[in-house]
Amino acid sequence: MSVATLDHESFFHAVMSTIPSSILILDERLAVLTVNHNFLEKSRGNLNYIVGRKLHEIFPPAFQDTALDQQIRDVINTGRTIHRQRLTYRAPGVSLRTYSYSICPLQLHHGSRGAILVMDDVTDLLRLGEEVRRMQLHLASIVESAGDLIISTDRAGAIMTWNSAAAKATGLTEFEVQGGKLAHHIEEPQNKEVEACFRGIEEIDDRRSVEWPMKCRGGESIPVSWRLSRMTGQQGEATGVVFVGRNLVEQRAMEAQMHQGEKLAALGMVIGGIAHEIRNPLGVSSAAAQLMKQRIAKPELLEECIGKVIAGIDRASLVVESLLRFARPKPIAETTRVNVVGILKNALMFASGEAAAGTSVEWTLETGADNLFAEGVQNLLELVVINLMLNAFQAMPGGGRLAIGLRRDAAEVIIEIGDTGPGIPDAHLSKIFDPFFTTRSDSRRSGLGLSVSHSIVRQHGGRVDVRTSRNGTTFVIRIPVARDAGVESRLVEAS
Amino acid sequence: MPQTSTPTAPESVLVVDDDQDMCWALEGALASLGCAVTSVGSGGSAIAVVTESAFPVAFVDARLPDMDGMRLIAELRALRPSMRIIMISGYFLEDDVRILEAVRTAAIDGFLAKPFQIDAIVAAALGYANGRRRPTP
Repeated sequence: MSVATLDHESFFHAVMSTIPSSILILDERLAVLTVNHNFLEKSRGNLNYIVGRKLHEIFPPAFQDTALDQQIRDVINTGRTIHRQRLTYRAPGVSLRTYSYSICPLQLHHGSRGAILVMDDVTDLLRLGEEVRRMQLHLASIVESAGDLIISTDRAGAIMTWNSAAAKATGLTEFEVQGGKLAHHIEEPQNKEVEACFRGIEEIDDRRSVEWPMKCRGGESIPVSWRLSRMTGQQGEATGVVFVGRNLVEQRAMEAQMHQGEKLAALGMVIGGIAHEIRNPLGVSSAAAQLMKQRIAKPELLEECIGKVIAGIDRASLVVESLLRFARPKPIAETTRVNVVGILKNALMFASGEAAAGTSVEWTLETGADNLFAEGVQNLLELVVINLMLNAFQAMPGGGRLAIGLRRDAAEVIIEIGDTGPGIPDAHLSKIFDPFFTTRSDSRRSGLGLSVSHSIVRQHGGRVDVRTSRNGTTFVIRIPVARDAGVESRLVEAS
Repeated sequence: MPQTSTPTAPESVLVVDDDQDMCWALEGALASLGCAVTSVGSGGSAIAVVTESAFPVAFVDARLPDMDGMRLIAELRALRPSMRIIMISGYFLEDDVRILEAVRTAAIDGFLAKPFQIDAIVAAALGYANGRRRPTP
């Protein structure tokens, strides 16, 4: 097998003519021995003119002030290469150009020494680099100045970047969290969902938002609504996940204010009915006390009167207590286990003043419904049920039947509030949950009732559905059962 | 104030209220008059008993489960034009427009807000109510 040998001369010419740099070969006197094609093209020079000239004769005058001549002499004298130096010059009428150059010593024929000068015009390259850097800075500043939390992780869920909004919201700096698992910063039980999303990284859907409360430095947590998107590599493979989160603290505060406003509006509606609920037992107590005063001598009647006085006062104070509990502002973040039948009874007590004469109430409670507990905020759920009952009563101005149903389906409590009114027309059905939508001229109602009810139920992790026909309308509320729903029955068994 | 021994005490009184304790209270309040008190809990049963027998005086709650108190009063009036009817309510106040108007047009013969004074119940049964007096038939 024959081995091809390199023809040094032709190799040299091949390199000289194809290399995209300008190359000059100089002798000891700094006179040009040869230049390559690229140099001729760039300098628009002529090889016959250039060969034998001194460097300063072929370079523009601006180069004469540079250290180039001296550096070439140093390289020739010391035999040491100079790498990647930069020089900038501005020719008249031309924008500033920047060159990168290296000078390497050469051994010429007959023992004389020379140097090779390799130059590249890096002006465009530098500008490009500068632009890339500026773009990166710009992107970084967008991420940094964003009001939303922006967190990126690798495909295993380890945090890579954490913007200042994330730091501000949680009190944890990027330095502290980098490399750690994102799931550690999400409250239980939602942290399981975070872990699951990395296992199913290919299925991440960026159109869906999820609500995962986030842990803060002090141990408290904040509500955050997240959108997830996959970062992909060149082959489309998932390389990580970007989490963009909206801090819901302020939104929640606004919603709480709105809920409070709606509660007071609902109270304004039903206050007459509540007054009736209080004044009736007060009337009984008062009459009983007056009778006692008149007939102090008859002990058997006295006993009965005392009983009526106490029972009447108890009944009235129960109404006042539920009124106060209802009116009290409370953030939705603090859910407790609430007795659903209690909510339905309170709501009916509040709303029944709006029932037209001839309205009956039909309860359909599944066995054990008295001990059915939901996870929620009592007075907000009461507001939801009051709104639905008020709507039901107003749909039946000539009387009818209010149907109250309660049952449990797996992990959900299902409440049904039905009326025997004329039903909701198809044209209105899609709008009933819109704010301010109302068909009533009743100035006492804001038109917010159903929209607020809908938002409250959704925040409870539930949903509201409606069935309607010409024979009536039924609203179906689904909310999660209390997290420790089983505790009560276990306690009963133990006692 | 009229005394409980007033000879104009009615022989019988009808009480219409769906709250049994309230009926008990009114029965107790009227006991000193020595008259028979019949209590019913709905508009329908009130119409039934009034159709059956005449009551010189009736106390009617403004909110009844099956019909509006005001409507019941109108129907009772149609049955027994001479019956004196006093409305009682925890829902309205004495100076509510609807009540003032009903008293002015003699749709009702008197109004008492809950909680009430026993003396006022007695006075109303005897024909003194809200400064207005209709002679007991």
